[in-house]
Amino acid sequence: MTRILVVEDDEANQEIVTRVLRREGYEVILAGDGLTGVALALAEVPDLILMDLSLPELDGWEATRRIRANPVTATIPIIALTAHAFAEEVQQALQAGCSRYETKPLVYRRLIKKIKDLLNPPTVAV
Amino acid sequence: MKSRVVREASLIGSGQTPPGVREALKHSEASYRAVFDASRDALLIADAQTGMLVDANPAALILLDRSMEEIRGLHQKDIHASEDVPAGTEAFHRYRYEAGATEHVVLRRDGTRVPVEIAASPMRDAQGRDLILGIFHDLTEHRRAEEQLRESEERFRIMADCCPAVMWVTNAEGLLWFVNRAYREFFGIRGDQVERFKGRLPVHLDDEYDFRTAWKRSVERRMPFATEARVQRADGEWRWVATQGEPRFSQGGDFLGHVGLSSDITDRKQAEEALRESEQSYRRQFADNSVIMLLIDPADGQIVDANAAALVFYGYPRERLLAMRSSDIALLPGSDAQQVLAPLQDMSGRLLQRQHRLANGSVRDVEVSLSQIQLGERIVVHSIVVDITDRKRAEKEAQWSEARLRGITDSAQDAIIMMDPEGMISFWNPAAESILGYGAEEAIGKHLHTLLTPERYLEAHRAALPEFLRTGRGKAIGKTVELAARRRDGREIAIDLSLSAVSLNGKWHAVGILRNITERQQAEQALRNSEEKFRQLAENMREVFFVATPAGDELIYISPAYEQIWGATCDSIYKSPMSWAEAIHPDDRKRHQVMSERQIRGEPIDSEFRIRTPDGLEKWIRTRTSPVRNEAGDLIRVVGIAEEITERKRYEAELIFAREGAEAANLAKSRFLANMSHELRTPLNAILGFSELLMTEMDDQGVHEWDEDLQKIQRAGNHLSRLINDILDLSKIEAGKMRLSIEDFDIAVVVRDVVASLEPLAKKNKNEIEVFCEPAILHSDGMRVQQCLFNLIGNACKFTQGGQVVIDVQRESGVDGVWYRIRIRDSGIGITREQLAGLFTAFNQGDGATTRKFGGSGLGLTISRKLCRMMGGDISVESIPGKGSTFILRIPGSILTEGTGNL
Repeated sequence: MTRILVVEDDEANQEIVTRVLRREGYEVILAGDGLTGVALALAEVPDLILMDLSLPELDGWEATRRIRANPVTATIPIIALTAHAFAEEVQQALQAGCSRYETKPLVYRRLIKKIKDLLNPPTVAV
Repeated sequence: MKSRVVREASLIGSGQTPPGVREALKHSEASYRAVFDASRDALLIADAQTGMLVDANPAALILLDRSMEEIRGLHQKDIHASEDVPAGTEAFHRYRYEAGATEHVVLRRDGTRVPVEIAASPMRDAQGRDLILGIFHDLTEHRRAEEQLRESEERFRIMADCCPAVMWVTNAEGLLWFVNRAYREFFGIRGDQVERFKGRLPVHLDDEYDFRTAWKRSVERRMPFATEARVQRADGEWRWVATQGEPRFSQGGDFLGHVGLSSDITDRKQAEEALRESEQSYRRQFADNSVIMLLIDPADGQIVDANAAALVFYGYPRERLLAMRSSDIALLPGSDAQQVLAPLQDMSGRLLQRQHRLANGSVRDVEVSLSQIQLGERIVVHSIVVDITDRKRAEKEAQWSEARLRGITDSAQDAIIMMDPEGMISFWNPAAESILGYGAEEAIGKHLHTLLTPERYLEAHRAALPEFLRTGRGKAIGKTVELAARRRDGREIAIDLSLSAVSLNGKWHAVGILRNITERQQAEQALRNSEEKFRQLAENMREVFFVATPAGDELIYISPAYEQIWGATCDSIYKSPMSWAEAIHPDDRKRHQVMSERQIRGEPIDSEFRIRTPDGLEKWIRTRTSPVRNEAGDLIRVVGIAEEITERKRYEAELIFAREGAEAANLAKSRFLANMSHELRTPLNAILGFSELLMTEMDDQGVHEWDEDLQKIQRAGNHLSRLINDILDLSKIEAGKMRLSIEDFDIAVVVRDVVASLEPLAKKNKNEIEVFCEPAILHSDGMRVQQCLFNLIGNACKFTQGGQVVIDVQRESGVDGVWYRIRIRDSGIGITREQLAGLFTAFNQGDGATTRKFGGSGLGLTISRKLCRMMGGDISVESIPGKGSTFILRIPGSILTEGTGNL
């Protein structure tokens, strides 16, 4: 089963994302702050990570950098979730190592599509 | 021949046959037959009554290509060509009674036609039959010859007619027998007049004797003749023609006439006539001229002729001179005759300076002018020689002395002017030109005083002149006086004039050496003026003005303001020039020291520092100094200005403080807004998230009871989200945090996307959207352009009901590059003048009611305009209330550097 680590501090958002992902058939692992996120990423090695950027303990940018720095977790696709519409913040997230980003409020169909694209990259006919 | 045959046949045929002569007859018959058969002429015998052929000899059988049997079955008509049958029959009937000859065309068996002459006569045979004997003579060869002759004649005529030369043929009597077309054209004879001119050549009476003589001689001696004579044309004009005639003779040697060619030589004759005349006059001029003239053969330099003046000059007898070549008299440096002669023709028309040796061995300088002339048939070089020995010598001497003088006068700084005894300027050096403005060519020969003396001095000059000219003396002679002179431009200049008198050939000339002292005078005056001005300025200034040595160890001048600012006397600083620096605040001394070093190096200085005055005040001072250099470029002085800027400094400090405060406040505000928007969004995300989740899950279960309510929650949530976004954008722009992300994008794609997403809104308001946009790649922030367009087009759709929204994108090329103008025109409610004023101000909508009715944050236009300006463009608007509005977004096609808008 495909496992997705959701790093999100807001409980309501945790619940929504969890329900949406489970509905799509994914197994969800939850982390409430950045540090826990980095630890669970290493312990569970999920297939994909949804990373909120504003997090207690360790913010999303730093958590992403640490996940990327560890060879075990370096290649896990990470989608940044941000309420910050500042372009530079998005830019920083991508620089930190996020593969994609989604702006809150989340549009779930779009999020699911992004997840599917990352997990099953469209094959290229050779 | 043929007539004899006829007679013979006739004799035989017409003879009676008495019983006693049967043998003889038989014998005669045999001999007839032999003759008949042997004849080379074709012989045919026909029955005169029936017209049937009865006999033919072998030649006839050959001619007609028939056998005897065939012949005996033929009627006389049968052997004639069809068109000849009537004539043949007619002749046949005639020949029954009388002999005769006619030409006919007969047919061979194969149908070929043979022209024949038939000589025929009646006869009777032994049986008493009336017969007709025809002797057929084949004319084929004859006809061919005739044809050939005709053709040859025709060829000749055509040839002669085509020949551009005038051709004619005469008979033995000298009468024209043939003339060609060129002849007719030359003489102006029209086709119908040819006969009239078939006489003799119309030779002029004066030339007729010569012409006749040549003609006769040609006939007598059987030789061609050539003559020139005037002939008259049909229109009466006389022309000169050269005529050549070739006598014609028959094979027997009889003279038949002439064949001739004539050509028009009128032009040549006239040219010759003119030449003869000019030659005569030339000869006269040449011989009698007192100028030395030689005629030289250009081919070898042979002297062809020399006039009397030349003989006298060179001192040779005529025969000797004419035996010489030009190279024998001309001395040319290191050249052999060939070299000299080669360019002789090229030198035509030129003036050459040469040296010629005379008979007595002396060498003279000469000026030779060569020209080519035509003398009769030949071209000779006409050489005019002028003895310039004396002139040359004088010139040389003059050149030498003048060169010396020129050397001096050309380089003189002062104007050197000479006046001749008539009061005219006779010398004028380059300095005179630069000082007085007249060129030498303008000044020399002009009256000195008229040219240069100002009106008011004129009388005095005139009065003094006669005395000077008589004695060479005058008040000003030998002295230097200050005077005024008038320049070419009318300006008067002050001059120093040194005058001296020179006696040449017993007459007095004046030499004036003149120096422009206007500038000196003006400079002196200017200096006085400027000093005065400067002093007034310096002493009334609030700023301290000073002049010092570069090191500052000597103070030349300091203005009195020093006392007010420094609180020390000017005297104190004059005595101790560095004392002013002692007042500098200890913290600023080091900086000032650096500045002083730069000042000594000659750099301009702008420095600010604090001083402490004796009464304990701290003042901010700004000094600015500039280096002063002499002409050699050495730093000699420093001028400077020192001012008190304490007030300004205080103001600046306040300003900096205020700005820092404002910036801090603004930063705090945007940080607050950013944080707040995050805080606002988190619960909003939950609201929107759960309502979407609910809708999806209820849809899964087929429950639709609360769909409408959930949609309302979603709409309100989305609206709130947009409001937060707008506020966030605005605060970002205002905080200078908005960054453009520049990329290449297609404007047509952006417009299409925006229109597509607004389609539902347009449909709801029953609006039609029309787009005119060509694909074009822009280098700008595509997301922000999209945002602006979304606002503008969204507004248009929102404020228009059942109308039209037209989007029109145009490319504009100007000096400042490529721009795009996007016009969004709607037929909506429009905007009043009052509304227009605050349209782009934040939190401002048409009126409060508008917000309630149409929704929106009222920030869209403000944000759009600010974004647009960040991208280097702008948004403008035109509107008629009730009719509609047009928003025009104009942006550059390319943003070169990614910048931060700070609006």
